[in-house]
Amino acid sequence: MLKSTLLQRWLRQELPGWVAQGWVAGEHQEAILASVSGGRSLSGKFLPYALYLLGVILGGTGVFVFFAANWQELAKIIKLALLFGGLWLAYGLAWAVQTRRSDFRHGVNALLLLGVMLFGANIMLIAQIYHIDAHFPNGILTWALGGMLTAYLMRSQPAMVAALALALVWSGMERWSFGEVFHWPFLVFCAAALPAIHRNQWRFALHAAMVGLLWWSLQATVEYGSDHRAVGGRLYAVQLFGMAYLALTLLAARAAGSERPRNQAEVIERYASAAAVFFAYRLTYPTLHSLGWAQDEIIAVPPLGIVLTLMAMALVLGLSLWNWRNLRREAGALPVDKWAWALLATALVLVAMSLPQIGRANLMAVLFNLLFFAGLVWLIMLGYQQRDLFKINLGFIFFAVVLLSRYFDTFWSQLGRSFFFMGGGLLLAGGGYWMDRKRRQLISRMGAEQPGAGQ
Amino acid sequence: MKYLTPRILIVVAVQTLALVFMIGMKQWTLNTGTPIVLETEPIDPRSLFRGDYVRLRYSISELRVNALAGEDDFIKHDRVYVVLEKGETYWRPVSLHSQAPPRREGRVVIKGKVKYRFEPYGKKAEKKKAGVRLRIRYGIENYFVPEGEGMALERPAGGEVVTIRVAVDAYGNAGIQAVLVNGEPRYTESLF
Repeated sequence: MLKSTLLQRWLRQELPGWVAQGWVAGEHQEAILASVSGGRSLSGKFLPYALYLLGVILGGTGVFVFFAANWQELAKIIKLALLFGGLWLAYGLAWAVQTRRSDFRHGVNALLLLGVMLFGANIMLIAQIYHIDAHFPNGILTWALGGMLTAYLMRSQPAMVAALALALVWSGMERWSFGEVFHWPFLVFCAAALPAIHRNQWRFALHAAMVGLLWWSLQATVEYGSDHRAVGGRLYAVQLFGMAYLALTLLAARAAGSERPRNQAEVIERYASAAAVFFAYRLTYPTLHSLGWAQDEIIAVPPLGIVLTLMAMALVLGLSLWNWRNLRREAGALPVDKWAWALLATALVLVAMSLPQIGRANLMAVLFNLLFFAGLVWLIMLGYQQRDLFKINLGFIFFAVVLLSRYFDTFWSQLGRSFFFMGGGLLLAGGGYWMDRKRRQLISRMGAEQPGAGQ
Repeated sequence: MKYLTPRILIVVAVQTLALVFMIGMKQWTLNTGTPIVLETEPIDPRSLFRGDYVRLRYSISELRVNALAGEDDFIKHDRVYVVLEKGETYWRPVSLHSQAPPRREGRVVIKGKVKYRFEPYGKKAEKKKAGVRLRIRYGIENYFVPEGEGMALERPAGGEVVTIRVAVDAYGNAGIQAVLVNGEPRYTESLF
């Protein structure tokens, strides 16, 4: 079966014809589409919702600007009265709307979001009034926690999204201003958000959490090892994150088999798989495997890095075994299960080889590149087998990215500039056309192989 | 929604308490802390005045490690406790510690964080140690004033001396009690 999005699109095209043929009653079209979408309505409810939220945010901003223009003339007690009064008014209005018009959930959410915004503004303004100049990220953390509380108690998705965004800002501040490269409390915050996201089936908040997690991971691996003395450490960080996301992909793939969290598990699986592929792509760079700026400089191998890498390898192996039956079911004309084991075994061997860093940077990079290309081919095959457009597109995108990267790495210093850019242009235009053609052929073949297609 | 009123009351109560706690913590420091007067140093005249915030730098903002007793092994982002004692007019640093030292009569311990560590370039190890300086942040480096009045504090006119009266509580937290110009309070902090 095609994944649900492609199926919905196909059904929307086909249903009018079926109704015209008399095979399906006209009044059943929406019910069929709703059943395929898992109950999610495809009608345009998003626009009014967005407008309510935007209206509240703009209105709130207008109030801020009005008071800001006259702020200095106000006495401290008046300022405090305005700050607290505004906060209570926003939540009071949310309560009033909820009790009188319980079906007007958009309005309630908009007012709750305004309350969260005012809480943050109050933190900043009170810090200004009382000259509170302590560890400033704590103010953002307090704001984020206030948003999380509102999200949990009032079941407000916009408040949860705001809380997650603020948590990301908080983590960024701790990282940039206070040197916390691996700011682990951010993960605790995300984990604390998950029960509410799961219970309420909040898709947008789940996307926000996953985007935040990916961004946090990317920043951590970029900054760790920016000091040349820790270049070796960056390799461990990239490997660890790659394996962590691979483990998350396997977990999510397993959970996607069960009924209720299926849609959420699919979302997590996609983000995690994209991240795993990205970190695998980073392992194709020779600079990541080198020891330091000077080749004769020996970097001390961090024992913690080795231990964590070994633990991650064991986890990935265990989850792969747990998922083995699911993958075996996917194997049809193509033996994706057997090739998956071959790729996994090769990957684990290469990771183990990179643990004692003794100066095999170029060899390791070549091996990882070969493994990566093989992995992308396997990913595209798996996507074809599962009728999963996402995996196919992911495979093709990274195929193009790694080709371009190797072209730049290899030929930047070998060719004259004009030939380099001409060659690059040909590669992009020609290669892009060829790959897109192959991708479309694959997708149309998938659609043609659907039961009932072409009848 | 079940229990709507208690839920929203909890949200309002917790957020209000968080804000009141912020105010309370600051006021507790100002009301119970030991008042000390710190000498300010001129801000780099090439820096631009940032909005209505006055940026303040003190004689204790940059410390030469070898000139003080206590510990000397601090790096960027480390917490540091600076022991101060009263000089003729201003309070002066005596020693540096990584943990809060026991309180002594006539001395005050102020808590800060190392913002930068400056080491002289190209000298030998022993000379290097003599030259290590720490730039420390105590949380009293910014002060909000009415618009247009900040420049006079950052760059005082000839003959004017700007000093800051700071309260330091039992935990080393500091808060600005008053901004003094020629010893007279120009701005004073209160709850309302």
